[in-house]
Amino acid sequence: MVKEFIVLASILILFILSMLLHSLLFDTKGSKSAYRSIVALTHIVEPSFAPSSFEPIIRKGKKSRTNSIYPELPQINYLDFAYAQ
Amino acid sequence: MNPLFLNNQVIVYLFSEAALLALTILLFAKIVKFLWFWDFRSYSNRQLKLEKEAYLAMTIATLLFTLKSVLLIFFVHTIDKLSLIIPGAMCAAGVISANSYGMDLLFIKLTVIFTLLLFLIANSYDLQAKTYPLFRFKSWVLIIASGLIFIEFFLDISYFTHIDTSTPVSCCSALFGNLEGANPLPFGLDITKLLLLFYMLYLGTIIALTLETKTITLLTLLLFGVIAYYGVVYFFGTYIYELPTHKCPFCMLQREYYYVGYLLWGSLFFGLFFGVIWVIMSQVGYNITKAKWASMLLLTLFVALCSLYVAIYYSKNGVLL
Amino acid sequence: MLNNSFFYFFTLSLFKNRKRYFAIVTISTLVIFLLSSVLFLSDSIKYSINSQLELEPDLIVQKRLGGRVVPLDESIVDTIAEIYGVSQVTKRVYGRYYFDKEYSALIFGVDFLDEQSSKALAKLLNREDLKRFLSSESMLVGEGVFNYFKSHFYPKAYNFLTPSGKIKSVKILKVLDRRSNLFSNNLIILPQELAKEILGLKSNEISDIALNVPNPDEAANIQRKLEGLFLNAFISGKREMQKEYENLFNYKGGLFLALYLIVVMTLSLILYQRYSLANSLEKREVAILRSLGWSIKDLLGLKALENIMLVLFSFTLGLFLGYLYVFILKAPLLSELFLGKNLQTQIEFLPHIDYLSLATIFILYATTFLSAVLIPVWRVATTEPKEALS
Repeated sequence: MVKEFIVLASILILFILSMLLHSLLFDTKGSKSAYRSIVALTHIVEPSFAPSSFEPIIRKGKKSRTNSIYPELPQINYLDFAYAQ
Repeated sequence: MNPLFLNNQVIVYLFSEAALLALTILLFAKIVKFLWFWDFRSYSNRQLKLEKEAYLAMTIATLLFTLKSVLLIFFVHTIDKLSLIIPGAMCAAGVISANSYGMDLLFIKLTVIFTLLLFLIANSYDLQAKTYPLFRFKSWVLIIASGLIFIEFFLDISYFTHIDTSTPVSCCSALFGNLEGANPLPFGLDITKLLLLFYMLYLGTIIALTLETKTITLLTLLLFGVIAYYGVVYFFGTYIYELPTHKCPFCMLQREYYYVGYLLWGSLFFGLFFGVIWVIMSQVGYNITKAKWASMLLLTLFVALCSLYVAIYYSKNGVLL
Repeated sequence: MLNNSFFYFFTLSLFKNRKRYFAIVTISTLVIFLLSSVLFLSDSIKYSINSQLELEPDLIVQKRLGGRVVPLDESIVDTIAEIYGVSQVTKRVYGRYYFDKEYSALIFGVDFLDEQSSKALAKLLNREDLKRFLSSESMLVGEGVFNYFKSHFYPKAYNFLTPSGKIKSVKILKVLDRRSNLFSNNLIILPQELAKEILGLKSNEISDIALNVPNPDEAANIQRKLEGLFLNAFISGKREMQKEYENLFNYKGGLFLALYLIVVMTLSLILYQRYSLANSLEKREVAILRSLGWSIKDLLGLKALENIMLVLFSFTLGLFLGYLYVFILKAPLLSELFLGKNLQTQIEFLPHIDYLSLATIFILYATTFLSAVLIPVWRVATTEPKEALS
C-alpha cells in the first residue's frame, strides 16, 4: 500500500504546485496596468458595480423593471422564435 | 464593539486559543488527580486507569506544544498585519505596545512553550524508564504549564479588548530609537561594552556547557538571553536593516528582510530553552547530552548569524554603521 | 523510512479503512472549500484595490445636504487651486444612470482641459480614437455595459434619457479592456459636458473635487482650510477611505467567519461522535497490535499520523477546489455577495494567495479537528486487549 500512498501524496503535491504555477504565471502585471489606466482617469478606487457609500441609492424593486414612459426594448430570447413557430 | 474582533485572523486566533484552553482545563483536572492518587506500586483499578490517563495527558501536552508554537508565529504575524488598521503603527512593535498587556503576553507565550518542551523531554525519558521515576516532576511541570496557559488566555482577551483603534500608537523607532540622549541599555552599558559582554557571555555559556557546571550555565544562559536581546535590537538589528537608526525587534520578521527574524529569534530562544532544560534535567538526575549539544549548536548559529550580517555589511561597504 | 514496517502498516490501515474515513474527508473538504473560497475572493479583491490605492486622491471635497451629496459650484475650484500646498485639483463629474430599477452604470465625465485626465485618456485610446472621442458625441463603455446595450439592441449607440426629458444619442466608441472589469465593468466614460447633461447637472456644476497634497504634514491644515471654504463642505481623506475599505472587507469576511465558526464547531461535534463510535473491528485491531507488542505510545503515534494525514488531505483538496472555484470558474454567485448584483459579467480575479489567509484556514481547521478527535482516539488506543478480544 506504500505505492498507493505515494501516488496519493504526489497528486496532492501536484494540486499545490498547479495552484502555485497558475498564480505565478497569471498576467498580474497586465491586469494591474489595465486597472491603472482606468483608475488614473476616474480617480475612483472602488469596484464599479453596486452603488457605493458615497452615492445616493435608489432602492431596487423587482416588480416594474422598466420606465413606463421610456421603456427598454425587450431582451432577445431565441427560444421565443422556436415557440412562435 | 471593537472592530478588531471582525478581523479574520483575530477571530481564528482567539477561537483556537479557546479550543486549546478547553483541552488545558481537562489536562489540569487530570494532573491534579494524578498528583493526588498516583501510586505506582499499587495494583488497584484506579491506578491502572490513571496510567492510561497519563497517556491522554501526554497526548494533550504534545498537541498543545505543537499548536502553541504554530500559534505564536501566527500571533506575531497577525499583529504585524494589524499595524495596517491601527493608526501610527508601522510594524508589530507598535501594535504590541498598544497596551501594557502585549509584552507580558509575548513573554508568557514563550514560557508556555518552554515548559511544554521541558515536559516533552522529561516525558520521553520517563517512558523509557518503565517505572515512571520522573512522574511527579513532570506532573508539576504540567501544572505550571497549564497555569501559564490560563494566564495567557486571560492576557489574550485583555490584550485584544484593550486595543483602541482610534488613538495612535508609537512606531518602533519611537519605542526603541534614540530617546533624546538617554541610554536605553541596561547597567549603563554602551555599545562597545555590550558587544564585548555579548561575545564573552557566549563563550562563557559554551564553556560552562562543555564543563557541565550547572549553576554557572544557568547564570550565563539567563544573562546571555538579556544581553542578546539588547544586542540584536541596538546593534545587530541595524545591520539587518542596513540603517543605523532603525532599532526594532519586530521588523526583521517581515518579508523585506526575508523573514530572518524567525530564524534569529527562534535559534536564540530554542538555544536558551535547551540549555535551561539541560540544567533542570541534570538537576533531577538525567544528563541529556542531546539537549546540551542542541543548545550549543543553536546559540552558535544565532551568534554566527548576527556576526555574519555585520561582516557582510562591512565587506560590501567597507565601513561600519 | 519507506521500508519501515511502521510506515507500511500505517499506509495499509489508511487504505484498508478508507470507507471509514470517506464521510469525514468529504465533510471536511466541503467545509474547507467554503471558507477558502470566501477568503480567496475577499483577499483578491482587497489586493486589487490596494494595488491602486496610490492613485486615489488625497482629499475629496464634497457638498452634503442632509447627508446627501449634492452638486458643487465650479467656481470653487479656482479658490482651492490657490491654496498653498495643493496640487492636481480635478473637477469630477460622475453619477449613476439607471437603465431600469435594477441595472445601473457609473457615468464618468472626462475633463479634456485637465492635463492629467487627457494624459490618462491618451493612454487608454489611440490617436484616431482620441480624435473621434473629442470631436463627436461618443463614449467608452465597460464590458458589462456593452453587453447590456447589445442585448437591448443598441450595438452602435445608446439613447440616454436626460432628466430634462430629452433623448440623447451617444455612439459607442470603444469597449474597455476586459481585464480591468473589476473597475470598468459598469463604467461609461463620456466628455464632461455630455455627462453633465445626462446626469442633469447645470453647466457650472460638478459632482466633487479631488485634490492631492504632496506633503502629508500639511494635510490636516489644508483640510481645515477647505472646511472653512463654504458651508456644508464635506472633506474625506485617503486614510479614512482606506480604513473604510479595510473594515468593509473585514466585515464581510469576518461576519462570514463568525457564522462559519458555528459550522466548525458542529463539525468538531460530528467528528467527536464519529470517533467515539469506534466499532469493535477497530478495537480488535488495536488489541491485536497490542498483544503483538506495540506499546500505547506507538499506537497513539499511528493514530496521530492517520489523523494528520486526513487533515492534510482534506485541507489540500478543499483548498484546491476553492482555488478552482474562485480563480478558474470566477466565483459565480459568491462574487455577487462581495460586489453586488448589477450587470454581471465575468471578472478575472487576480490570483493572489495570501499566506496568512492560508495559515488562518489551516490553524482553525487543524485545531478543531485534532482537539475533537484527541479523546476518542486516546480511548481506542488504550483499549485493553483482553476486553476487545473476548
